Amino acid sequence: MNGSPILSVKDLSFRYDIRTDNYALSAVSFIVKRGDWLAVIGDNGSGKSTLARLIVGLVEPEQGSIFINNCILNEQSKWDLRKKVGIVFQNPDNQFIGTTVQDDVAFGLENLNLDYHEMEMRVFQALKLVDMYQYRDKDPSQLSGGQKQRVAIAGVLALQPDLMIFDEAFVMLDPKSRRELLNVLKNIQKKINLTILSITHDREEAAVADQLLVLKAGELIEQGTPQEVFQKNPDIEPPFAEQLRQELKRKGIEVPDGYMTEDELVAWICR
Amino acid sequence: MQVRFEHVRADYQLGPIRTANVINDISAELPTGTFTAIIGHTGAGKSSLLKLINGLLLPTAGEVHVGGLMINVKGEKQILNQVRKRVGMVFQFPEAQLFAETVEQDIAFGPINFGFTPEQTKQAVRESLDKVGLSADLLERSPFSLSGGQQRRVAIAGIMATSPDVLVLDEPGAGLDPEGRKKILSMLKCWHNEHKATTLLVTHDMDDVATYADNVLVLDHGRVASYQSVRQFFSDEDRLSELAIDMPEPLRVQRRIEQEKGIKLSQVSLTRSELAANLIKEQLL
Repeated sequence: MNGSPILSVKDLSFRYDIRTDNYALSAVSFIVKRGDWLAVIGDNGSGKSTLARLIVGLVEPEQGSIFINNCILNEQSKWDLRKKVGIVFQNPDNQFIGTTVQDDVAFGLENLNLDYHEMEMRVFQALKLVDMYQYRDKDPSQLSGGQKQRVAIAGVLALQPDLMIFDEAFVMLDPKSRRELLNVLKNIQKKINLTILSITHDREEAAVADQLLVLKAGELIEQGTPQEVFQKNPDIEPPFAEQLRQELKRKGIEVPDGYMTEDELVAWICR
Repeated sequence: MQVRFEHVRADYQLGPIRTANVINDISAELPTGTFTAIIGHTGAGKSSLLKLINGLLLPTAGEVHVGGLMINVKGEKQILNQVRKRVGMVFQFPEAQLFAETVEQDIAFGPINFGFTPEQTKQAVRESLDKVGLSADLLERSPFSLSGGQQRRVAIAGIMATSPDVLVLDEPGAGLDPEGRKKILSMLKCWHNEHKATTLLVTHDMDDVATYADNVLVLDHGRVASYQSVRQFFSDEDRLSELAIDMPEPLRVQRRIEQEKGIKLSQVSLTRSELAANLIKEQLL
């Protein structure tokens, strides 16, 4: 199944106000393959969040089309397709409903009319995946920010979506919980072949993706692996390790040519 | 202008119920012209400490000194008025406070209320707009037609226009992209240096602490857990992990290299160029 497109976006344009020439997105096209992690980066106002809202059908494209699992997204199909796409927002507090962690994770499933045992199993699996099973009887409001966001992620995982979207979902977390959660997600991605689209400002989050899209003022200006993108575009600030490599190079140190991840750089220094 | 806390306690009263001491016996002296980062976990009392400085929260015991002015439990109106003219406060997401029809009116609101003459106000508005890096042709625009980053600059310009001696900043970079964040903070740092202001910055980002602050004050459950220079603070590995405080990126990478090589560099690296210099100096490359 790997390699088949789960999301394909074709020639997508959108304006919030059609009286103006301000395109929030103009002629954006890309494909996300099953099991891939695609990160979308860009400055404030580049159209990142608009893209997420279009993909889940919260707003309609002015031009162009979105295919999820080879099925076009429109007014009729959006209710079905939304079952296949999960989205996690910035602030988990805005989306808690249940009085316990497991109730909260079960909420989405209740709406799907699943039978009890199936629900129980999915809640169990989802909480295990994000490593929150031991907290299943806790009140979500008592958890730390990172734990809350894990529960929110479990709630979406339990729905077994084909595509998971993270809209700046880690900005509220401190750097340490953010790094931990990114590792957890990377593992889940491999384990269940999850497709991820993450919208982010964070360079470290962008660096863990398989593919990177760069939006600028509504236009897709770059696409490739993080390595390709950061190497080709010196004006896009790379992750810290790569910045350090470039600085060492400027100071006349013979560092290896080309983009390096933190692991690679540390390994090179400690060689 | 110096800011001094003397055995300050404070809490929030909700009807007859008082919350436990949100600020619990804090004493600290912030010398004139210093840039102090206030850090601590959620609920540690950071925002409450900021509010004490301009009397939005009054102490239940102890004294807060701002220059020659003293705020205590009585919270005399006259003194509070004077304090508020000296203390500029930039809240979290300050753009939420924009209200006027034009950018010019919005920035002028503070100066007019503090009794600036029309000419003084006009000058203050233009100067502060320039300081925050916005061009004068925005003056006639509605603040709501601007982008998020520009709105934040306008809101900050409104504070700067009153030329405060003490600048209090609650996460001024929150929600901005990395470049926008850096620009806002370096702009604030510039202003701090030029005005010899006493600045307090609440932040969760240890890289901001390392880059901009001289001193760091750590709050924990309403008490001062640590108050020292940034470099000293980050040098103490044990204390950092005890307080569960993250390290700035350069230091985190330095510690990682040290661990894998089984060595210790003689200095902590607070910025990328320091780390590069330290690695070269110790001939690790």
